[in-house]
Amino acid sequence: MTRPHRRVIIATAALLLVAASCGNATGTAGNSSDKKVKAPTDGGEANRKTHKVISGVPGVSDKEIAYAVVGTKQNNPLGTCILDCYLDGIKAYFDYRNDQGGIYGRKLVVGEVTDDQLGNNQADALAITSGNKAFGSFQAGLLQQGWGELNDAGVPTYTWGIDGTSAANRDAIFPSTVIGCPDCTRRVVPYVAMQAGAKHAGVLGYSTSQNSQLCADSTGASFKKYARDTGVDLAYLKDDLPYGLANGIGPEVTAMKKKHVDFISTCFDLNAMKTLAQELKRQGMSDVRLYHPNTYNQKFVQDAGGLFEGDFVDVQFRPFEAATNTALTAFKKWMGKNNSDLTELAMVGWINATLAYDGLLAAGPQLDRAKVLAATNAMKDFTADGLISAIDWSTAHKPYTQATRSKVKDLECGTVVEVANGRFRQLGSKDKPWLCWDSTDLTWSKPVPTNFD
Amino acid sequence: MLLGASAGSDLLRALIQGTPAGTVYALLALGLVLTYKTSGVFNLALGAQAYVSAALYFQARVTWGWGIVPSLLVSVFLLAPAIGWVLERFVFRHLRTASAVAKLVVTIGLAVALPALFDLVVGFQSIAGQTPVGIVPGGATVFYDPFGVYALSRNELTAVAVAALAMAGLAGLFRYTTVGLHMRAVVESPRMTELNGIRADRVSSFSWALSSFFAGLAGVLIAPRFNTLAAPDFFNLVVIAVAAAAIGMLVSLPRTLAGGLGLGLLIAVFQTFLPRWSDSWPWLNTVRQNITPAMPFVVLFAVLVFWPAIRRSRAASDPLAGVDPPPPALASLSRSRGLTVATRAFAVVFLTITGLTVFFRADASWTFVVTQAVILSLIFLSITVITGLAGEISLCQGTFAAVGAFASFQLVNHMGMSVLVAALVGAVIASAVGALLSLPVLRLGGIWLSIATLAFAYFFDSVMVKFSWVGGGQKALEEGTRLPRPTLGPFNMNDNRTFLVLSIVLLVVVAFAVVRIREGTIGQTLRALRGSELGAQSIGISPARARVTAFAISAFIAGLGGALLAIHQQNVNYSSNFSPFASLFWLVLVVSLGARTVEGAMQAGAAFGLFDAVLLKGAIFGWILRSPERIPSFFPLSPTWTYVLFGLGALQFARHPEGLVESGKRRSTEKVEQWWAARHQGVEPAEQAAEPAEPGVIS
Repeated sequence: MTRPHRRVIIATAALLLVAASCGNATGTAGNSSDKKVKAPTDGGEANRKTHKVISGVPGVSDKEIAYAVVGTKQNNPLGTCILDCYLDGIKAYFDYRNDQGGIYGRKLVVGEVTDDQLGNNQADALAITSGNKAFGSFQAGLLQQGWGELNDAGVPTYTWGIDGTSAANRDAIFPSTVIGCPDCTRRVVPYVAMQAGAKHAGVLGYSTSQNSQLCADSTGASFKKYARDTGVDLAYLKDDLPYGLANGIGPEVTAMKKKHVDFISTCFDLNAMKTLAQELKRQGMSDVRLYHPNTYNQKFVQDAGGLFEGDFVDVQFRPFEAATNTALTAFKKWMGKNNSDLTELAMVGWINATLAYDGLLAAGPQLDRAKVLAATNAMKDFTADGLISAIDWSTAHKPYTQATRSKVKDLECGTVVEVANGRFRQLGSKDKPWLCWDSTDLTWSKPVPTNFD
Repeated sequence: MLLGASAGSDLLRALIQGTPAGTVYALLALGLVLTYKTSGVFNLALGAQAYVSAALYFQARVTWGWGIVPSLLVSVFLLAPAIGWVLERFVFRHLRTASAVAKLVVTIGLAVALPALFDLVVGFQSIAGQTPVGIVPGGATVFYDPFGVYALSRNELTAVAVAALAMAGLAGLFRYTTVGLHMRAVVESPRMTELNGIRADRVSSFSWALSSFFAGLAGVLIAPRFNTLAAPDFFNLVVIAVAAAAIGMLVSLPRTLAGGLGLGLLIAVFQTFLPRWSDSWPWLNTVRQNITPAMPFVVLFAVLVFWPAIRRSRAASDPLAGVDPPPPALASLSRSRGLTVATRAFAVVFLTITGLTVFFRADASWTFVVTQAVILSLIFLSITVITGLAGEISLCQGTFAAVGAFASFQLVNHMGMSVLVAALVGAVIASAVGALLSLPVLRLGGIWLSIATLAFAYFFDSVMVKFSWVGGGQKALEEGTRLPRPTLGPFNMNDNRTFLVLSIVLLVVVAFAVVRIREGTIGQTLRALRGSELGAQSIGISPARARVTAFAISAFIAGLGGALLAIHQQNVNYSSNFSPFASLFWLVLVVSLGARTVEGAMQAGAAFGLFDAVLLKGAIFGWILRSPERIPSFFPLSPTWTYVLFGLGALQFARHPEGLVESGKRRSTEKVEQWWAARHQGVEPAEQAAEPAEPGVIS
């Protein structure tokens, strides 16, 4: 046998040996699921001022409970205010609670604030898990690469509701909006189309964003499912548009015009909504009413100069235009005290901070991360004091599908505002801003106006 | 019926829709051809130049509140030509004798650096809701419908008119003016032109200024089509312009014009008719969903691969192609034995101390970042093979890495394969893709090969990733492209340190293999081919086989690295790891630091992985001052600096084709040897290091 042949054989044998001993790791040493504890019973408002000495818990000192905040600022391709606006909401909530004496004799503080610069989310998450400075984490990054690390380390992590996939099956991740079933039909959009007197609906989405494509497909399925009941059929669906609409959207609008589309629901960012509205105007379809998922931005709508008049905008929380409640009043007051703008992301920060506080309160004065997780995951009716529709955290982490949704007891709710004279106006009751359906009964019915106070 | 009753009006509508975009593509393509004709530079930075003008115009109009005329004057009539003039005067004039490929690398560096530099200097940032404005009042809100079929906005009509005027002006310049005549003469023969008393340099400067003006004008005209201004969109534009320029063979202005216009129309026609055709033939639906955004890249790839005339143009545009002198010997091969031993001992000590520090002192975050740098070094070794050894510029290394990562994801999730075995199989699949790709493109050589690989990267990005058997489809949309960490016997790689050790072991194995390849038959064959292809053929070397082998090996390494990166991050993370733009930056980084050596790839990996964390965030100052609280307040610096510094670093490529690391190593070796010889008089200095390569030698 020649020398090279011998080498090849030895290398192959070594490779085969390595391959034979290979496997796939499951879970991690620090997986939060390994550290599950029973939900504490000594929490609650009565013990809020009880101070107990706590040692060895990251981010907790005798005077403070510190949280890390990570979000995208630089390299943000959307050009939207994310990290700063999100931070405004968290700080305002902490100020509000600290003004009441804090919790367990400690102040809530924002510790390290990190700009993940779009691509560093995973490394930044690891800095939190390996550091000893933060009890929990707030996350508003455009890419959610680090959520798995935070979950595995059992760090209570409160996030914006941008990506259901990254939050799924992770019981330490608490998004402001739960996307439990990305492919499920929802009645709110067909209902709004029906209210607008539409007959033929179009649905548009991006192919480059998983959320956008899933959103478009499920909205299309919703129109199809309830076409007979609402009188609005799905005339056009396109879920593969390139992000940013660099080639414009002329052919798609032409196709919709031919199909007499009079209502369009999209899964676009607000910039693309402007492009779409301009193209509709160009092709003489200005009277087509749009359903916006991401345009709850008063300044943007006003600056568009009537382009969005009569359109509908989805809102992820109790709209600022709804009848105020205690939480909304507090939000406006404390945001005002900090001279911060009332933005969507600020409200998301406030909602996240509310859950962080409620988790601490439920965990009791001798708290640690595992107790807070257990206490939070035992909450069955979290509404951020009436700012969002109810979330059952005991089931919310587990995603389900249209096929299995009948087994999941949940409410299907949405809240929508309408653009009138350049300003937002609550659609439906101001006192009961949510339109809700029972998700276990998928037959068509009128929505139940609901208030989650 | 295929087209139905309204097909005529639909076709007319599509043509009207495609005209504004087509004219702007043509304008940009003309700029590309103009530069290439007069200076031999295939300027991939033209999109960056267009972006800078568009962004300045936008900034002036919206942020500074300037009027249309002053904004236009400053951004298009002053800044754009000035950029062209500066680039010619201070960069490309000195690269006249460099090879076309070396110039291409420099333009890629500029494409990376220019937008980043502009954003930093001007403080430009796109803001949601602030869409770019046109050059006429009411540009986006006033419409005209001359044919009663489709209304064009005032912006679009203006774009068509201005572009047509600019093109007519260019034709007139060439045809009727002395400057035009001089420009044509310089194209024909720069030396003969100079003998006739014409300053070829000045003519070249003028050409650069003019092409840059075209780019700036195209940028400002097309900007209102975008929601927000972003440099990558403008780079995509230049790829479309490259397709148009390829149709014009890089020399014919009329054909380039037709190519740009034709592409704009073709895209609009497909967008109009594919949905209708797919109603009749459902199988077309898959094509419709994926092919439309990829149209320019398909056209570009098809033109390059199937148009034989392109291959002939190689010899015409690059007369020295194929007769490059061999690159100089590596510094490590020409230094004395004593210095080699000392250097290696230092390296071993340094790496051991660093490794132990990371292993025992670093927290999970730093371990993660260092592991990432190690894996990137492994991926960058693929560039060492294809560029450093084979002398070819591949712009799709990120795509090969993505193939490895996606293949691993599919094998693990659908076949339950062990993730490490899947990574190896993924690398083999990437290798097969690399070999297959090389078959049609290897005859192109030079810049055309690079452009073909770029087209492939964009095609993969806009078409292939969408297929469920590649990117995971609906399941991946719902559940992500997650990958587990491996176990190896008793070792569970969920532990970041253990995974770091595995990554280092794999890096060492691949690095050793690359060194063996370089010194073995394959390396010698590739070196012979670079010296003289004809000469190599005369001694029985098959260029095709050698290049296919190089592509296959390079793709294997990239695929393995890509899979490893995905396993490290436990997710493929395609868009943030493997986009075509990432490939460009990888190349810039590696060739700047040294594409011929393993050290160059490792230093590039370290730079890519650690530059931001160590330098820009100021961590190094925290270590020196022994407290993170003492880091100066101006940290962290913007991550954009990474693009600026390494992009501009690529400017050194043509001067130091061996890379900054190898160049520095050669110089320091010479100095140390001289110092040593001086201290020990009577002892002859060790064999002097070889002279640096002539500018233009691809190393």
